Amino acid sequence: MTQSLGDSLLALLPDYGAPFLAAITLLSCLALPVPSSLVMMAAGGFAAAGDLSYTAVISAALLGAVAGDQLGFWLGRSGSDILKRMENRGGKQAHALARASHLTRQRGGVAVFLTRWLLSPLGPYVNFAAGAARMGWRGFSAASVAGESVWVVLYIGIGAGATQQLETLWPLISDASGILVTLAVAGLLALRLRHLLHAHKMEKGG
Amino acid sequence: MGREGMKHPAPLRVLWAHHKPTLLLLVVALVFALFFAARFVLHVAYWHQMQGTRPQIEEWMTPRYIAKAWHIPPDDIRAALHLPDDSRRQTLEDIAKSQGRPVEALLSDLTVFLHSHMAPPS
Repeated sequence: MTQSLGDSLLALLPDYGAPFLAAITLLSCLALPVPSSLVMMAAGGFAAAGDLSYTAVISAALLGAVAGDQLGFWLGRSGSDILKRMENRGGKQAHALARASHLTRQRGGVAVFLTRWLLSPLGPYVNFAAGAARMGWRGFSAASVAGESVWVVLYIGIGAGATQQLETLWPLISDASGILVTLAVAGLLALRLRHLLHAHKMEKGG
Repeated sequence: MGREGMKHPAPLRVLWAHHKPTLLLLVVALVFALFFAARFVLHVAYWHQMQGTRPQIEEWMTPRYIAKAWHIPPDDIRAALHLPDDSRRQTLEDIAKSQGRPVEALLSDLTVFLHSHMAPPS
């Protein structure tokens, strides 16, 4: 019998408990490819079975995720000078970049909140971008804590309620997440193209 | 192409001529969306097929996890695995290791026990 990566990670959960879960959610917030939603669902199952405590599982997952977000944000912030220099270089692309980082500062909170749970695969990149665009730390942290709370409670809740269906339910959830993320990216690109087309017409017309 | 066509070229043609990378990225994103949608449909069919059947036990599960998922008293599972009442949480893999037998043997014994213990799913 060959063990998948997911199964070997799940086998470590009863051995190392909540600290292991915190490590997994932290790594996933830094764009490392770990199946954090699967591990969280299994942790919910162990909590429902009485092997782990709900308090420990929820607080560990939340702590790891929020710490990972902060790490990503400050990594991005450390690169913000480079971005600033690129914005000040002048020209069309620099202007677009400046507009994008201005938009991130103004309305980044919604993006941070939604990419914690509904569009979670995009989360790590939004962390770096928010830091690099010099988004306010308070606004970022508030959206991060709110979004991660939804993520953690949602997956631990599903895991606790569906112990018998973990192996058939998880692929459905990960596919649905893939559909949502690719459609969100396609939507953003379509908006960008519409804007470009409009700009092109204005240029021709005026 | 007539004068009208020159004045208002098709939007796709304009974007292809001037913003090829963005347009290509959009196509790639849509292809991936279709891929995930197809996988989702397949997984829904599999999930539907598995309804009413008992899922397999896995080596990462603990006795209490199995008790919870299969609605069997934890003491019965512990007895079937010859575990003491005060045993700490450990995976089936660890239990097999400490009992010095292959995990496959433990899994198949436990599966037989689970099937004999409960009525077939309705």
